[in-house]
Amino acid sequence: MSEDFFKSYVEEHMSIIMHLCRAYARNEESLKDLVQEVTLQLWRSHKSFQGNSQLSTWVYRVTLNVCLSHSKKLKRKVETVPLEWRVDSPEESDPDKEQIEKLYQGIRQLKEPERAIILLYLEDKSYKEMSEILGITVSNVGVKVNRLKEKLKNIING
Amino acid sequence: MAEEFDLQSVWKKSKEKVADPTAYVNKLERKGTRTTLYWIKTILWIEFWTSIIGLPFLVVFTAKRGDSIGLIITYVLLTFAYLFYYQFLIRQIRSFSYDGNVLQSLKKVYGYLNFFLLHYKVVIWVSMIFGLIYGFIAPESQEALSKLKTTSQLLTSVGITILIVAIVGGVMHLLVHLIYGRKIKRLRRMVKDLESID
Repeated sequence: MSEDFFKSYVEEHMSIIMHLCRAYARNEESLKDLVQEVTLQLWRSHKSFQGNSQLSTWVYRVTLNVCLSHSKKLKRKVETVPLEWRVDSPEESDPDKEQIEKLYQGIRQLKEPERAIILLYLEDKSYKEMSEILGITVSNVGVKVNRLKEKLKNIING
Repeated sequence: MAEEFDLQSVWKKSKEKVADPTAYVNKLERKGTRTTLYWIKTILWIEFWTSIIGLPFLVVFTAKRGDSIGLIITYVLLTFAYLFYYQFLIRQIRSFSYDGNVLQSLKKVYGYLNFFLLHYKVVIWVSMIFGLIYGFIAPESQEALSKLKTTSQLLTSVGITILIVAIVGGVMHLLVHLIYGRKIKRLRRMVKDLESID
């Protein structure tokens, strides 16, 4: 993979990377660190990308792996920062904003590996792609996705 | 109620509402290499224009002091050589880009700037030493030294002169380190970080 192609590809996928990382980060500072770590990890490993899977699959896999290991590191530290997110819209009573806040809060209440599965579901990935990214069987993905969808909705709706 | 919350559609909305990631990436870039290179470039521009503005004053000053035309021409040629050197370094910094091989590009710029810093330090100390030697062998100095009656007086005056030159050289060295050294060190750290990634 040429470096120019890699760079443009990562730039194209930066929005997705940001959204995946957001579900694992504790605050804006942590998000910056995480996105930077993912970008570095992608760059570090892009030369060894063999083309055995789709490029997008590889991006998702690296991103989620970095997010999971980052969460493990954070667990060892004392959590002092509240989980708050700023959304661009300044209106206080924006229903979309409230729903987004609820969704992120709900995702963050899931266990880290569960977050990876639900994020891929939200990204509209097929079960086959999800199984490739997560390294689990397609049938297992189906079971987990259905269970986690319900779990997340229950969390969101209290 | 559970059915009303469409997870995927809310997720899609979040992509439209949450802050622009491109701006964030640009900010990240600005914070690092670009900022360091920007400041080095700015300082080089300041040196460039200071040299241009200072050249006529230097010529008038040396002419009034009665220096030989050969020495004045040497000053002018040296200033022009430095003007080209500053321009060369500025062009190298400008040519740095994230589009190609970032490591190679940064390494190249770092190499040129590191050499510039090293040359600066060498020039400072060499000119200090030559200045010191010239100071002792100049006819005016010889005359002043001959007026000293004892060896201890001679040694004291020589010692004080060397001390002053060492302090002035040290201060200039420190100044160059503060202006360029720290920034170039930061570039070296970035190069090492990138090398460890590669």
